[in-house]
Amino acid sequence: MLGRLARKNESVSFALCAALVAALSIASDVFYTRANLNSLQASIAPTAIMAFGMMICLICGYFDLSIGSIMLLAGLLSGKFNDWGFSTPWIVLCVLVAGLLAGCLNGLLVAVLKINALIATIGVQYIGYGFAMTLWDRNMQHRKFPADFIAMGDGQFLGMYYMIWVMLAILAGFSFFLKYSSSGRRLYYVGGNREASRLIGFNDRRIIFLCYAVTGLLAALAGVLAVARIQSPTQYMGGGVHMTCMIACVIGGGSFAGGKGSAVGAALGVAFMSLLTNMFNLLEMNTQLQNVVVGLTLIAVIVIDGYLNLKKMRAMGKI
Amino acid sequence: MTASDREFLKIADITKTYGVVKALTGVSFSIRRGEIHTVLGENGAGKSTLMKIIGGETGPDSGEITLDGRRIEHFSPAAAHALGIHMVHQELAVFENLTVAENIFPYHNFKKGGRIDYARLHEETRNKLNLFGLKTIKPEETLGSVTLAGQQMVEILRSIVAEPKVIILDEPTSGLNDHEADLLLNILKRLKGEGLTIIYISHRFKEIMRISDRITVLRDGEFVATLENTPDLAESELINNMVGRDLSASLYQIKTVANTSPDAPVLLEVKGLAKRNALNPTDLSLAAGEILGVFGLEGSGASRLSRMMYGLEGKDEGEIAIKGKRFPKVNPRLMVAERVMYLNNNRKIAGLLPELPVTDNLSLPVLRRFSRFLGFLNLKAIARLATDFIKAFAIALPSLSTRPANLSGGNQQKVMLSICLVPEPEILIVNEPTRGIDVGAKTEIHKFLLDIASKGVGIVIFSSELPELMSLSDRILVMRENSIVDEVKAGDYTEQTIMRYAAVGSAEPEGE
Amino acid sequence: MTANTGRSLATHEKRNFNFGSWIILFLTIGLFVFLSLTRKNFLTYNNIHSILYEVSFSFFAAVGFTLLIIMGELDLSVGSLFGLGGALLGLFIFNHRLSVEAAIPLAMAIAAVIGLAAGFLITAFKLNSMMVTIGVMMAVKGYNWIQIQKFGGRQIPRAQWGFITQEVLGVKWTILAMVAVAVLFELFLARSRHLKQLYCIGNNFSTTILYGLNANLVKILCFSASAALSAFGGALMTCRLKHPHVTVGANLEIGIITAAVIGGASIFGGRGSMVRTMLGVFFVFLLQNGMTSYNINTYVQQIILGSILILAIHLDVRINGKRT
Repeated sequence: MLGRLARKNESVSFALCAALVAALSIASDVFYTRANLNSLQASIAPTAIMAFGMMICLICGYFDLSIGSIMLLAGLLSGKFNDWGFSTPWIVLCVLVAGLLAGCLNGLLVAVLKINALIATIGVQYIGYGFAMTLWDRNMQHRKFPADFIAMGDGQFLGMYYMIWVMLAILAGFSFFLKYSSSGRRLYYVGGNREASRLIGFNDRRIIFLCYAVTGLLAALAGVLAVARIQSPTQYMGGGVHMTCMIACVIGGGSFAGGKGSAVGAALGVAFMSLLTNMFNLLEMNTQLQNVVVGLTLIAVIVIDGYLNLKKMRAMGKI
Repeated sequence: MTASDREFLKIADITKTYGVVKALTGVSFSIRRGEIHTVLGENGAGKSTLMKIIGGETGPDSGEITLDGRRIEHFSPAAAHALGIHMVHQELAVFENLTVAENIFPYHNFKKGGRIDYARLHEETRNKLNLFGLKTIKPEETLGSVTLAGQQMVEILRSIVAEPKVIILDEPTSGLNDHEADLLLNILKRLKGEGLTIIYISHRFKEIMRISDRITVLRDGEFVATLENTPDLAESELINNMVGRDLSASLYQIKTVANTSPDAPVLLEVKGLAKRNALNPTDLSLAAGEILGVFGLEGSGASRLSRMMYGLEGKDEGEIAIKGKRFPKVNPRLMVAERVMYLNNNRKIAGLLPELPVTDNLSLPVLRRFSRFLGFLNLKAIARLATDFIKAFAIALPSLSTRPANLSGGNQQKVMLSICLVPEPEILIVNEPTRGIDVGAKTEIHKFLLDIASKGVGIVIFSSELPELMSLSDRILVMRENSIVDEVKAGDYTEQTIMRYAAVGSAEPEGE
Repeated sequence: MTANTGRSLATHEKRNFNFGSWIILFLTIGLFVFLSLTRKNFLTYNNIHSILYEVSFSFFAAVGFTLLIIMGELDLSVGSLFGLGGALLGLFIFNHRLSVEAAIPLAMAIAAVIGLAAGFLITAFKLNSMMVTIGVMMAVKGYNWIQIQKFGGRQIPRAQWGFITQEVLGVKWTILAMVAVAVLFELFLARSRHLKQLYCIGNNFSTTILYGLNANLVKILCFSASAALSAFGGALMTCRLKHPHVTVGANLEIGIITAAVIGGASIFGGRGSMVRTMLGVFFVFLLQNGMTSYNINTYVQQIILGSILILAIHLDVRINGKRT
């Protein structure tokens, strides 16, 4: 039901969000407090930035399960570079380059070496986590970032965190890219019918490689923003965020079969997931119980998506 | 007309071999600038291979192709596009998730201030659609919601807006109804008028006669003739060219007397089997020891009928009776249990376990028979069984642990036939039993099939090779446009009559 | 080429020793020799025995995984189902006062139902098994945490876990059980109708359908068996630890995929062997043991293991990927 509606367009995920906001404002008296709205923003912005990456991969018919590790890596690398005395612009630049490289590794494995995207990105997630944690030391959380670094996470403009503005800028950029640029449209051709896209002369493997590279870059950006907001690196960043993004993208109109989805959909999907988590938190639901719910939601989303694709194939007489 | 116009696209001495199979042998002919040139031939005559070479999807082994006096050096779809050659495949290469406009203009040529100008894109698309009388298709529509015919038109339009010099259309009307096909043919005539050269492949004689300027006939990978489509050209002349083999000298002995006795029990009955847009209600019956041939050109629904009979594909209506037992629904498991086996037409997709030893292949349908305590298999008995079959079918094998992937096509086909015979079936459904194998293996397989039938097994053979069917079958059913259109009995076989049923649908020459 | 006669065929029917597929044996021996020569505490009975003891629990999560990978399906939920075995064991022993003899089969049965459901969804809707089992992994892992946190580190009474330390001829019985299970499955895979057909299904699914096998049912049953055996291993592991712990089964799936693939299984299906998977698991544990003895940080170990996984899959794609 959820999936079928979601598949129509982004308006459904918008409706879902609106319904949750309504429910939360009635059921909870702390929902509209400054503190809660701030934490909601801080949860939506980095996740949405990563979800844009996940969405471009999904549009091509792929996925990236390593974004959580890349986010963590970005956070801990920021701490490391800070320890080495880098100034804020250098920290950000170096971390973004690291994220880009991690994304390129995914792209290399999937697009060039043709390794199954799930296994490749799970492997990179595992390696990335190990790599990030070798950087981790307990004292890291006590060392201070420069004030201008923290300002990236803490500063507000017109009552909203900078990161929300960054997220909105990226949203606008991606929406334009996916709708109004020829290169952006190509993702839909590749995801819709890979063979045919090759026949009309698109370089599908280069496109997929670039999608992974950009996804790595975005995950690193999300990591920097998140760490600036918490003001110190933590080892718990990025856990399970790949699942949240995947579900958000499918609820927001993407499909595992590829060829559909939009940046606005990804953002709305993330907003929905964040509101849901916010509701769970306000109801004081156990974090792990939330994971159970997320896992079951993922299965439900996969099954509905698969069922609809199967029905479509049957209707076209391909089975 | 200048010489370069007469030999606009020149095909010179093209040869192409796939393994042991010669797909094309020294084919030479020329296509004029601005004509509609039909290439005609039976399935397997080499049309598709030739089109793939012209379209740049594969290169020839020898020979050359010149376009407008220049020799084509590189064979790739991109190179062909650069030269202005576009190919529209029978299987659609379209993007159902995108709009009609985006399918027609995938390169998004219309930009305004660095962004795609959708208004202009839709406007241009609408103009193109209107130009070809496709007013019902809207540019903003998602292609997935357009009819199959519409999708076909859209794909052709995508090639046309690239302003090619030559366009190859492979069975463009196969998914279309009469009205839609009519529309398409009118469009092709108009395009020809604008100077486009069209290579057209179809099995529908009426269409061919209506729009072609010239017709080239291929047979068994060789060039037969190029005929001018003058009002004097008779269908029978085309058919004679398509089938005109000298069968007296060939390996095929045409069956003149049916081998079945009239009181042989009926093994298999198909009643009213039908599926929307795929098969019109179909009946057939098969007697013990009978070989029933089913002939149809590509897209006639013959292959689909075979799959539906065995339960590999769903049906809307109808039932199947095996030895009087009626089954409203069938699936392969039930068919195997009822001792019906199916020889698949494409051994690369299904029918073999390519990476497992031949013994495992042969025992697959009968594992239960060899299983003893706790399911342990009597491997010795399986080896004995395999050895028997290998001897009986003269399969050339280094050892029993050889894997089919390492065998020649002919031996693979023999292994596949053996797998089907291991469960001692009473009914055998055979789909293209000798596709892509050498002549020696072909004759052997024919011998085996005749032999099995003489022991009382009923066989239905679906084949697109007419001589093969005529030498094996006691009866031949001819299919055209998803229906059985006629039945020919042994003794009445001539290639011309059967081909006429399959191609045109009536035995009498139409008014000329 | 001429056809061979029957007699010469029969004499040829010897299984030829395939170097490539036994590469795991050479890797393991190589690593073993290396560690024996360079670490002085490595080659002791106690050390080897304790490595094998650890392997014997995780191996049970690899049994069903191997059956599934032979059919070309990947089950990523084995790690969390392994953990579920421990969580349910705690639940039944602490909350329902059941004895371990009742608790383990019950935990296995519950896991089997989960596997059955996952297998049904995967086959009925033609879903990607990895995607679905990632969802199962997440949900089950969350449940394990909730359940185990509630126990608050409570210890299982000795009367319940005591059986795990039993030894036969100086060897822990779980090690013997592991070897017996591996050999039995190897035998059944090579010789019995029920398991031999897994190779057929993995080699060409459509062919098995064509010749009347109920391949989907076989897959569903194997998903179920995989889940039950994982839970079994996890329950035994929990008995060894004497209390349910959240780290039981964490990231186990990565080790198991690596073990199965370097043990000669292919993610494209049609290949795999139980004994070689066992060797693969042993290799992975040996590697971890060796790295620890060289004081390599666990996170660096994770990087190395992950790289080996990707390398193994890459080789698999290079060697077996062309078939598809």
